[in-house]
Formats: sequence, C-alpha cells, structure tokens
Amino acid sequence: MEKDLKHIINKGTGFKTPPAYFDALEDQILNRIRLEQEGLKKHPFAVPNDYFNSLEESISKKTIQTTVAEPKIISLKTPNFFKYAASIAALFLLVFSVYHFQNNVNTTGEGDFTSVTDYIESDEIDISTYELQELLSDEFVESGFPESDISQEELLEYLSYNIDETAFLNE
Amino acid sequence: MSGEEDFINRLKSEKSKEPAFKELIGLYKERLYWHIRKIVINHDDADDVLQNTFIKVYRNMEGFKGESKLYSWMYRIATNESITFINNKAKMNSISNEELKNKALDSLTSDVYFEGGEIQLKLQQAIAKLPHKQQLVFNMKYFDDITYEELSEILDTSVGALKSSYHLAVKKITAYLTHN
Repeated sequence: MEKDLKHIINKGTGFKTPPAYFDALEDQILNRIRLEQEGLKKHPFAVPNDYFNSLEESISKKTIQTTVAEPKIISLKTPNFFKYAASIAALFLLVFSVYHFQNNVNTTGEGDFTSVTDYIESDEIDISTYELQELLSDEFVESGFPESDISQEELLEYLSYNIDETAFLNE
Repeated sequence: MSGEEDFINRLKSEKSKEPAFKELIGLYKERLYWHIRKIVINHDDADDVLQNTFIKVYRNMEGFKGESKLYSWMYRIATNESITFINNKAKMNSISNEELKNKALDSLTSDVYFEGGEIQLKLQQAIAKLPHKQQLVFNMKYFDDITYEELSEILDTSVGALKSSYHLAVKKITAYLTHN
C-alpha cells in the first residue's frame, strides 16, 4: 500500500524555509532564554511596600464587609439623646399649649361677647342689621345663640326701644 | 554512564547548561521544525512553536527523569505545543481547527516558502482530512521514518494501534489522490 503511495508521490512535502533559517536558530533561542532570565521582560513599575499583602483586606472592607455590616446602634446613654428628647418634649408642650389656648378663645368669654356688642353699638363700624343678618350663616342661625342671662322682659323692653314696629311687622 | 545520560547531566548542571543546550538545539532543531511545520503548515507559525518548544524544554529540564528518551520527550513537547498553538489560533479567529487548517492549505499556493507542485498540495489536503491522530502517525512515519517503537514512546500508543492507524491513513490518502 505504501509503495503504491510512493509511486504516486515522492516523500517531499513541498515546504521550505527562509535561507539560512537554521543557521541562526541556536543563538536566537538562547537570546530569548537569556532575556527571560535577566528579567528584561519585566516591566519597570514598582508598588508601595506591602501593597499586595494589604490589598485583600482593603478590597474586602470596601466590598464584602460593607454589604454585611451590622446596623449602627446608638446608645441611649449618649448626652445627645437627652438633648434631642428634651427638645421634642418642649416642642410638644408648646404645640399643645397653643392649640389649647386657641380653643379657649373660640368657645368662651361672656365678657368678650359684651365687648363685641358694645363695639357694634358704638357706631365705630358702619353696618346695618340687614347686612349683619346676611353675614350670619344659616348654620349659625340654626345652632342658635349662646345661652345668656337676658330675661324675656329685658328682651321685650330692648326691642320696644330699638326697633321700628312698622318695619318689623312688614318683615 | 551512557552518552545520553551524560548529556542530560550536562544540561542540568549550572556550569555546562548553556553550551549543552546550544548543542541540543543544533541536534534537534531541523527534525523538530519539520515535525511542527507539517502540523501548523505556515513557516512563521512553525518558527514560533519551535522556539516555544525549546524554551519549554530548557525550563523543564530539571524535571526530566530520563524515563523516556530525550528526543521522544522533546517530540512530545513539540506535538503538544503545536496542538495548543492551533487551538489558540482557531479560538482567536472564532473558527474550528479544521477551518483553520483548510485556510492555511488554501494560502499555500501563494506561500513563498512552499515550493511543491499540485501533487504535494493534494497530499497536504488529503492529510488534513484525516483524524488528528492519524495525521500525526502518517507524518512521522511516512516523512520522518520514525519507527513504530519510537512512535509508541512519543505518542504513548501501542505499536499495534499505530500500525493500524498508519495503514488506514495510507489507504485514505491513496484513495483521495487517485480520485482527485
């Protein structure tokens, strides 16, 4: 079989090399080895002392330890805590006092009611009874006037002096 | 102490290492080059692989136990370096090893370091179509006249299996050349 093949083709591969390729090969290979041995292939850069020894810890602090770190616990015994607590309590007291004071102003004071009627009667403001009626809302009328000590006689006497009977009957 | 043992000792000794290694390159450079060239096809690639082979031999000389003959060990390194080279080059070009080899064969016609005619080109194409192990066996037996016993040591394969591989390879190549 091999004889048949050799009959078809001689043993030549057809490959060749550049002229004198093998002549310089020993020196070429030895030079490469020398270069590697003398460290000339190494780059000239340096790093600070112990850089690589501390690198693992440094990266770990910025990555692994950051993600699994315990939440920071603030002690109740720190002086700042008492400052904040006192401030919040004072603020709460202030808000409560203001709110309570405003409620009292809105709901109480017979004296205040008298002052308002005196003010209106003193003709300091130019407002008619009709205009006053218009200003009062239906809700206010329905809820009635605040209770007072005015007796029915006093009320009738007041009306007889202050109201024009003809106009009143017309209304 | 045999001649080869003495030579190996000189290669391992710090004093005589360099001249002995130069001698080693001189002894095997051509045989290894042609072995590599038949695998990688292109001269520049063969030159790269040959130099890498000798550098690897130099670096690993301390670990050489003498369990096989020196040239068998070097042939093994050269074969492995050639295969690694082809694998890496094919990977870099995102093509298969077969495609890479076919491209190398296609470019032979314009290769200044190829002086073969049409029949030599056909032979290389026929070899490229063989399974990888048969390519190695055929190249080493047909072109380099390496004995089956030596082949067995280099390729770590039994003589019987090698004979069978070679026989099959010759049969396929003859058929290819006859029909093409």
